[in-house]
Amino acid sequence: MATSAYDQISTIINRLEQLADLLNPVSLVEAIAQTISIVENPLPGNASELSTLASAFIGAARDAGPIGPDLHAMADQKLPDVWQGDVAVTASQVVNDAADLVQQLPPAFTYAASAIDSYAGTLTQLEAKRQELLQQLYSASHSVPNVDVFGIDIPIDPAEWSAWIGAIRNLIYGSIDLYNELQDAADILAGEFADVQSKAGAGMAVKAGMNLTDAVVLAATTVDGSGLLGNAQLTRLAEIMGAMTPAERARLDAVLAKADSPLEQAYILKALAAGNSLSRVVTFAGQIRGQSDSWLIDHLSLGGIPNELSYDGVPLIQSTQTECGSASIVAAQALSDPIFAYNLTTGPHGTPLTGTQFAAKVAAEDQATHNFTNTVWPQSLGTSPWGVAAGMNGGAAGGVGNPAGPAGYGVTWVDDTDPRNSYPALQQAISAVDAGYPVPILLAPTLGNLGNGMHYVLITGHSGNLLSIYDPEGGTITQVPESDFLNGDMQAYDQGSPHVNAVIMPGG
Amino acid sequence: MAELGFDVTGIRGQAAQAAALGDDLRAIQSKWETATGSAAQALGLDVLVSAFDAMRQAWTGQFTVYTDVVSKLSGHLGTAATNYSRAETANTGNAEAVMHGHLRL
Repeated sequence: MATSAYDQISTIINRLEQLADLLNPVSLVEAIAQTISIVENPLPGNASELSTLASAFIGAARDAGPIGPDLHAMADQKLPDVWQGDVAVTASQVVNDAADLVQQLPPAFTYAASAIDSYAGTLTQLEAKRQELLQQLYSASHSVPNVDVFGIDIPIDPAEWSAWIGAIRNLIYGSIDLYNELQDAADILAGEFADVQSKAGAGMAVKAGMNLTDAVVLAATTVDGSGLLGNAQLTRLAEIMGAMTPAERARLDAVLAKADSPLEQAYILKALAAGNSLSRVVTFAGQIRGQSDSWLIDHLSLGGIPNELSYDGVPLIQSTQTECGSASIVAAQALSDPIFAYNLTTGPHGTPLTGTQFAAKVAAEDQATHNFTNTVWPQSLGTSPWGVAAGMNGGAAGGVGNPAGPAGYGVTWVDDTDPRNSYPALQQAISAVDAGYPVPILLAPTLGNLGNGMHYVLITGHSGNLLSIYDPEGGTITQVPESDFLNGDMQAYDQGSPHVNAVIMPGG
Repeated sequence: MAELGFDVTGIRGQAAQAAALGDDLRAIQSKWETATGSAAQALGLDVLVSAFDAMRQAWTGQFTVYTDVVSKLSGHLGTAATNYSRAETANTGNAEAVMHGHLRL
């Protein structure tokens, strides 16, 4: 069987809804016939072949399992310094980093296999349900009384007609549920594939033109278990480095060679990926040279405290009740651009700020951002979604380095009470997070609410089935089940504003 | 060997070990690529096929990174072993030349 278009399933659902809406004694037989003609087609996909596909991932995960430790063991031996790459690294470091990357394969492939198996199980259940519905429809088609539409009135009890219409309507609704469930399962699986894809950053960076060694070292550099550069930044960095003249590249290589640690090198390259000029990056490299890993993480990732964006014990929070949007933009900038974070945490000559000074600087940045985003919209009403999009694209501090490419961030409205409406947008938001983009979302007590109770938060990460969501009200990062987000049920996260009204989407 | 501070035999062993790991990775990649190369019928829906293909392509690239690193390491180690071995031979030759009064150090 050839593949079926996802949109075709939507068309089927619409057609069935029309049939259900227009049921009457005259249309009953035709409606059953049309429903049968739809439902008698097997569902797209093959559960048995899906299980075989899942086995391929399990087999590769099992076979690759010992290779990471073997590579680590090699790196731990005394390796002669034979490596020649564009980043100043030792052979041991490259092999250790490659070993770390190889060790990411078994969990990623096991997750993919589990996702495929789960979809296969759902497909089997839905196919059984389809066959049952089809039998009931066949049975109904043989039993339902017909009406002679050419004027001969057949006396039938109205209650009997009503019962037949109710029964057939239930069968059509059952069919609609069937195709909705298929689309839901497909949406989830597509999102899970994007999640697994996001774990292959080095391969994607090399494909985008990055040197092998750079890609391995950068992809393996993590802070709190997440890659310091997301795949989108790795790809952008590859493009920037690929477009450099030999002289520019030599200048960059020289500052990388002077860096004291792989993490220091990674922050320098992240600053470049964020869209800063090479001259600014070279200056920045000098400003952070020789700093310890913990200093770098505290100052450049605001990562001193787990599950919080903070510096010197002071969380990055909104300065006023109406600046949750502004603070979300500031947080996104700090997470995307280490030079922006450096400027938030240090004084003019690189002197580390105190926590109080940091809070004052954040407040000034929030206000500047609010001024930038609200040229028409009253500041007392917070920030409009399109204002947040503008801030993400190029706010007071230059946005998040326009990492979303020419399209930039845009507003996607969401009706989270209608799963079919919201699923694609929310799934797309998660895929954007997987690529390394911070994604602001607008929560509200009710749908379409752009006033009281409106609150922006920022999705900062996605791992397994959990989303990391930064809340500018307290500066905390909370792990939220992605199913809550996808199902439009954010009650457990925010009782007061559980509805996702809009997503500020890269490329949106 | 000890005079130059390099264990040429050891480095050759490391090169062979790296090459063997590269072979293992290539075998895993090949088997996985073959088994996942025609998933369209299994997946059925076009959105799933395109998401799967994107994921598969990314991981094909990732496998290539693994094998390239290991191959590069193996090659570098092999070259290093050869160079050290040549240096050692030259050093031995020099020592013999000195011994026989042919070369002044």
